[in-house]
Amino acid sequence: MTRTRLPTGAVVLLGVAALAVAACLSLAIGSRSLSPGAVLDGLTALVTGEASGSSADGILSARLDRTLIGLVVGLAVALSGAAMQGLTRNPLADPGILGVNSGAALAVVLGLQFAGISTVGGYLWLALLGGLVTAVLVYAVASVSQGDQSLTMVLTGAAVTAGVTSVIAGVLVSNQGALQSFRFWQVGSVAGRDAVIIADVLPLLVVSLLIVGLSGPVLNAAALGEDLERALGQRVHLARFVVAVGAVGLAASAVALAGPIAFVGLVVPHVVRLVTGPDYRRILPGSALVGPVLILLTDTLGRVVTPPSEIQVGIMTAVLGAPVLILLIRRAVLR
Amino acid sequence: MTLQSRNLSLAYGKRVVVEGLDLDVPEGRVTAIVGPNGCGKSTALRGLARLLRPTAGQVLLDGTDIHSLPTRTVARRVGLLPQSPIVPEGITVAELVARGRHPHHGLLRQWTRDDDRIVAESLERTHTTDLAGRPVDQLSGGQRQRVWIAMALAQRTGLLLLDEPTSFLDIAHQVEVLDLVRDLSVEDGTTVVMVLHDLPLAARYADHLIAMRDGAIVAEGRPRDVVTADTVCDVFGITCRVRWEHAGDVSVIPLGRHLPTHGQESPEEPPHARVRVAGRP
Amino acid sequence: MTVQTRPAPDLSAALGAMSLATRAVRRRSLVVLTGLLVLLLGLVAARVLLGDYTITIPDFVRIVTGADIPGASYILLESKLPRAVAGTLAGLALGATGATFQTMARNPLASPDVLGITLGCSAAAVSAAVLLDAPGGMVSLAALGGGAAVAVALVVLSGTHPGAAPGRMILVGIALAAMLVSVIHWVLVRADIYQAHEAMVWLTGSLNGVTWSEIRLLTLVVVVALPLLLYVGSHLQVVELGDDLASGLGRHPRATRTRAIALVVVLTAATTAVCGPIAFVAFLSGPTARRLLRGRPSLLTAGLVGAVIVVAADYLAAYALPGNNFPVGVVTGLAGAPFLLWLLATSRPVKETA
Repeated sequence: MTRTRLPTGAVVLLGVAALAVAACLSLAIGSRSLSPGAVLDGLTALVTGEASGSSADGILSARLDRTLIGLVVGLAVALSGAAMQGLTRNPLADPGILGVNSGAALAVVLGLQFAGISTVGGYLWLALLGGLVTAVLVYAVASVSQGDQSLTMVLTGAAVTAGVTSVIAGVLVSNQGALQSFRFWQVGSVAGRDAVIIADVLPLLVVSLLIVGLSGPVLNAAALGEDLERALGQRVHLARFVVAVGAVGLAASAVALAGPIAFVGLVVPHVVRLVTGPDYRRILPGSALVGPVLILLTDTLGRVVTPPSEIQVGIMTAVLGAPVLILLIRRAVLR
Repeated sequence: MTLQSRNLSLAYGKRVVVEGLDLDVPEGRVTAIVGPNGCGKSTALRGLARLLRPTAGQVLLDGTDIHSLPTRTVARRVGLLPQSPIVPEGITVAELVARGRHPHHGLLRQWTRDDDRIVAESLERTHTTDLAGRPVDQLSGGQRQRVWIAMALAQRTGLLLLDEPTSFLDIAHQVEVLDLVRDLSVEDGTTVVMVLHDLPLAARYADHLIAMRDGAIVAEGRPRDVVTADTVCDVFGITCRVRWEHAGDVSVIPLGRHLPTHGQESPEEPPHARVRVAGRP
Repeated sequence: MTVQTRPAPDLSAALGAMSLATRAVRRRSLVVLTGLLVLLLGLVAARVLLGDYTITIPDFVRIVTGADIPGASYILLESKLPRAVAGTLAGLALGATGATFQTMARNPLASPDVLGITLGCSAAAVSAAVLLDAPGGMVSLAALGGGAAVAVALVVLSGTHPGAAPGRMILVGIALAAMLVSVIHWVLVRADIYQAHEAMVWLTGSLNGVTWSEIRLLTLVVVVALPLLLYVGSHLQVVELGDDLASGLGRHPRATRTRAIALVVVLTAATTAVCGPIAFVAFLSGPTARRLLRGRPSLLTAGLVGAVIVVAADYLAAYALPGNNFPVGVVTGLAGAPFLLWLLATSRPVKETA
């Protein structure tokens, strides 16, 4: 199968254009749609600092927050998924499927219940810790097992998720206050948040972004398998561990901002791979572009499918992503 | 009991594997179907065993279309041993053989003394009595194959269809299994149809040989008439020397491209040249 | 088709060997069944009589025969007894259905809860209850519909059946489960906080609020469907030899599997409608029963193991932490996850046939 490859510049330009369009749609569409003119006016007003005083301003500033958070979350989740797929050489890897998100969720619930932590900056570190512990557990079980690696990894993730769900349920049934906040958190949403919270996750986000963004060569080497990797002179375990921490850091940042968002980390790298081929130095920047586009578009779609109420972006991605996962499973060598 | 096929065509999806097969299985004899890989011999056997619905033509059991008969009725008359049956975890030999009685049971017809006797006979017949209490998954390939045949025997059918009963067995176990098949035919009058990939073994053990290629019968009859240099060339596409000796011994010696094609065996002929035609490793 | 037998050979050796072989197996399964029954009875007795409010045996007899003892009557008839009965029924159903799927797939991971069938029941039931405010009967029907839809989707979307490619089916099940979980999360957001709390308790798998009318429904389903499942299970013994051989022995493998799956869906739906999805019981029971019987699968034994697990877990959930009356699913989930991890860590390559 030969694929005519577009020049890199054109692809990047196309990606950026798509991102711009998605961002504009996310700003304009909703229960009350704004005309492109109104969006533009509102934006200039925000930049120059002179509010026109119309109700459009309020809507726009809320949507702007939402769009910014969507951008960051899409970026983080997609890169995290791409790195996890590369590290584990498992096409089905994703922070949700491997249980990293639920590990993070458990840490957040426990923090909420026992330490009264309820700020983004506070549970960011809990999410990171929970995610890391889960990642190590899942990876350990899958590498000890002699069964099919992809299957074992996915099942381990599912097992962890199921166990974690029980603990969370145990906490929530006896604490209605925690249930009240948690049920809105666990759907995964970018709405109703102030973009300022991005500042809380910024340190972790930037470090993780740097690690994962530069991990292309490590992931490319990982694709060759451990023996060849060593023969090529990579310090296998250290490099992989650092990248894994970066991938979990991205997942934790996204979870802290928006709650668990399913399947974006899984689907985006596969879509990107169709265009870029298997080179992770191209897949990573591609995912960084496509992830936000996907989040923004599904979030916008979620605002209009069931008016007047909205469907949260986490639900939308799960419902739209599951068929893609099933497609991948059918295509994979797994029988 | 007779088993025939009339103008039988079989297909997997759209891929036609067997076309226009006319076949009469001789009663009380051992019939072997041979042919190269993918010639449709196993498919033909599955068709005869009603596992595949024909796209055209029919399979007749005692003159009746086999697909018009209830499958349990057929199961009481035709036994089948497929190529790779699955051994359930932890099952013992006695239990596995007992499952051969399944077609004879129903809600009202439960296990009886007779069933015990038949299972015991099947064990004796296949020399697996000593294994009765052993888990099947711990047996050797040859023992396991005998146990499967015991299960087919416990079904008590006058007709047995065996799909490559000797595959994955070494030569000693192949002979052991084929001797058993021969016993069944000679002593019990059981009709046997089996697919084999080893041409000389098939010629040695069968009364009736069917050679297939590309989903159709190329030659059929007594082994001595079928296994000739010409038919082997026709069926397997190789040049070979066929030598029939007294008492039905036959050797089929492929000539290949690198060895002398005629005349006496040259003294330099390397020993490995005397390989038998075998379809599968 | 006369099969001419030779002069009757001496079969005494073979018959002796057979009875020796079967006797050991029968004795083992008899011991295991009796042991499990005694254990179950003991647990049910403990569940009913002990705990935070002790009821003496004479009191128990008096209350059951109609006497009214203030306090004790209420606790026994409205809490302890229904929980014990519902737990036993649910455990029986879950254990047997789990073992059915595991036997069909020849894979301990392929139980209805791992495959998402249970979640299908829960998602449909919770949607009906919260979004449509449906009455109990409708909720049960919704659970049935949801479970059936997932079962059909599993077979259609994986393009296989549980006996052929369990790996692919399990992954498809996990994909469906992920989708259903987020549907449930969405429903929880749509509900008001009291509904959400009630739904949360139910979704964890709980015997806390079972009523006698729900128990009547569950009893009816279990009494009808469980014997049928055991009967179909005896046909599965032939199907597990492989499709070709099963057909050769006069048993349609597809039809047998379809019947088994249908019965599993009915039992799962009824259990889920009454008790919610009690995590991991279906998954845990089969392998445990198998280990007790030294590697041999048995649906009945698995059912009894399931009942033991649920009743014991409910006792722990209710009384282990004083002052907390947890749903039973918290305990089974906590116990099941490590077991699943252990099973995965020690798993050998999955044996599959095309």
